Amino acid sequence: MNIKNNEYYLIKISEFLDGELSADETRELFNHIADNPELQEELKTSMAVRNMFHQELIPPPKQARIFLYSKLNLQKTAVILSFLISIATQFRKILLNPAVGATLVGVGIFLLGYFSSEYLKSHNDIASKKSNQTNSIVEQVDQKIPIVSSKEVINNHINSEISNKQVVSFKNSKLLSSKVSNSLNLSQTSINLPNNLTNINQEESSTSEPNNQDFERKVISTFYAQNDKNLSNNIPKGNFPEINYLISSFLDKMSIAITKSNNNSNVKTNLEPLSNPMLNDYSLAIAYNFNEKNALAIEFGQENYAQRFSGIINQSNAIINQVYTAQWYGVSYQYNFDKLSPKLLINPFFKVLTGITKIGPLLKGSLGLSYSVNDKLIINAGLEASTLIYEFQGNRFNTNKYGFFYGAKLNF
Amino acid sequence: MNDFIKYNDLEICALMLSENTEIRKQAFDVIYDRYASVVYTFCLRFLQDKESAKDILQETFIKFFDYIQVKKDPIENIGGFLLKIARNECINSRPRKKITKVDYNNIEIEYNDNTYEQKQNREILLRALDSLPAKYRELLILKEFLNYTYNEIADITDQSRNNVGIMIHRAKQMLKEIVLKINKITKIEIEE
Repeated sequence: MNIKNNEYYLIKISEFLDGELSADETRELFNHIADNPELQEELKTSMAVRNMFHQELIPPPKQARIFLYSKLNLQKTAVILSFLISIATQFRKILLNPAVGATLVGVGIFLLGYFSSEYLKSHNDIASKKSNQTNSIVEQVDQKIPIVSSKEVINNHINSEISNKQVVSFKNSKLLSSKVSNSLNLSQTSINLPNNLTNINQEESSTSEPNNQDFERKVISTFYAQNDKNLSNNIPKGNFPEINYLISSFLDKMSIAITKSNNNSNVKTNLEPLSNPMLNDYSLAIAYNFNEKNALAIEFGQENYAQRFSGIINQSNAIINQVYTAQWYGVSYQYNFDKLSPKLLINPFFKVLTGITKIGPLLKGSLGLSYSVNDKLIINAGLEASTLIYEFQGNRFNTNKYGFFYGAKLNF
Repeated sequence: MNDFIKYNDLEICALMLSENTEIRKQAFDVIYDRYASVVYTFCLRFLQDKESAKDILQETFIKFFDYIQVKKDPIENIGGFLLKIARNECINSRPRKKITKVDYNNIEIEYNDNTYEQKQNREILLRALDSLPAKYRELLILKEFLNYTYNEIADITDQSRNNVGIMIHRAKQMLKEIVLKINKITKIEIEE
């Protein structure tokens, strides 16, 4: 078969696959192919290539219609809509910038914490409620619990009327009551107390040797137990204030950190990632600080991992190099060591992170120093190592990276 | 529900010549719904760039609208007419950078082998298609993605039917070579 003839049948094969041949032409083609292994192979490979295509229609973006209609003046509202959509599109582009996105998230959480605590202060601060309640108790104590003696009190040091201040000191310590009880004959002292306290008084009185200190302890503790009960009864019912208090306490221990890393990989490749480089090697962490030393955080970020893995593709052994852009999410634990010196506000710390990506788990470890600029802002820097484990056709592979990182942390 | 959906291209074109704005709009709605995806798919596959494809889609429909309003000449095959405009716009759009080397990178790996291979094949195909000369690329897009017949393609591209057959064959041969070349890259370790 000459080359020209062969070319003719190759074109016919193409036309056959495209459904352009008539029945007679198809019959003629297959009669010829039946005796020609070369054309049979050509038919097979042409079919394989054709199968790679998927006939599909891709719908255009919705904005395209709005813009078009506004240009053609077919829809008056489209002008406003297209304007709003263009603003929204620009806003979305800005949000995609990790620095801007992280800043907005940080500001958002900060504002939430700030207004939450402000609201709490003005309306539902339980601490202030307790304080107010204490004042009212003081007044009640002054009125309801006059300390009366059957003996005329001559001693100038002891006033029969106990001022609020004295009652407060009575409340806070037992010194005043001890002096009073020591200087007075306790067995003859009656205290106008609620029934349950009076009972205690009677029980104490019935004992041959009343133990003054025990009695006072009982009276005071029972009295405050009673008042605590009153206090708790006076706290508004419902969960709202308590939840607010919890949110405020929780946010006080929260912090947000943004970190940029610069790592080398054990897999070397000349391939360039296709992802947006602006987003690469940044991570964002939202941490809960249990105390000064321990913190737990959820983190997410994006990094490129050069990969080298082997497998069987198209019935052939293959070694594939590629750059995978991993969007990872994980949980990290950070331990802060003591400050290097009291004057230097620098803490060494270590952090371990376990995370996931679409293709497998990610582990990270870092060792660094944190410098407290003030009680809100902390700057971090240090060394970091990470490994991404992935699987291909049942075999596991991993990519290791090592380098340094730096970032900032904002406490709420 | 647009009542005009039942009309063919010629009738829709006639409706677009109406003095009534609402009728014109409804007629244009039908044309857009019928052909926007075809034009956009062609532009996207030809240019491999969503923003450019979107711009050319708009430009194509604006030119079509203006043509109908000015010429007042109904068109029998609106799809072919729109693709002609889109094709010219794509060819005349900003010069594309010359691709000298087909890179094979940044492929996501899925645990499911079939998914991976499908995705891989698609990636390879699009890259290979992108590296074809424009005159071959447009023919393959019209044939393989949009399923136009040789006669329709001949009409859109102003070529003879036989020439279209030969060109499509050559385009497929070139595409096959590029695909095999890319596959070969996957079979040997890339030299650093």
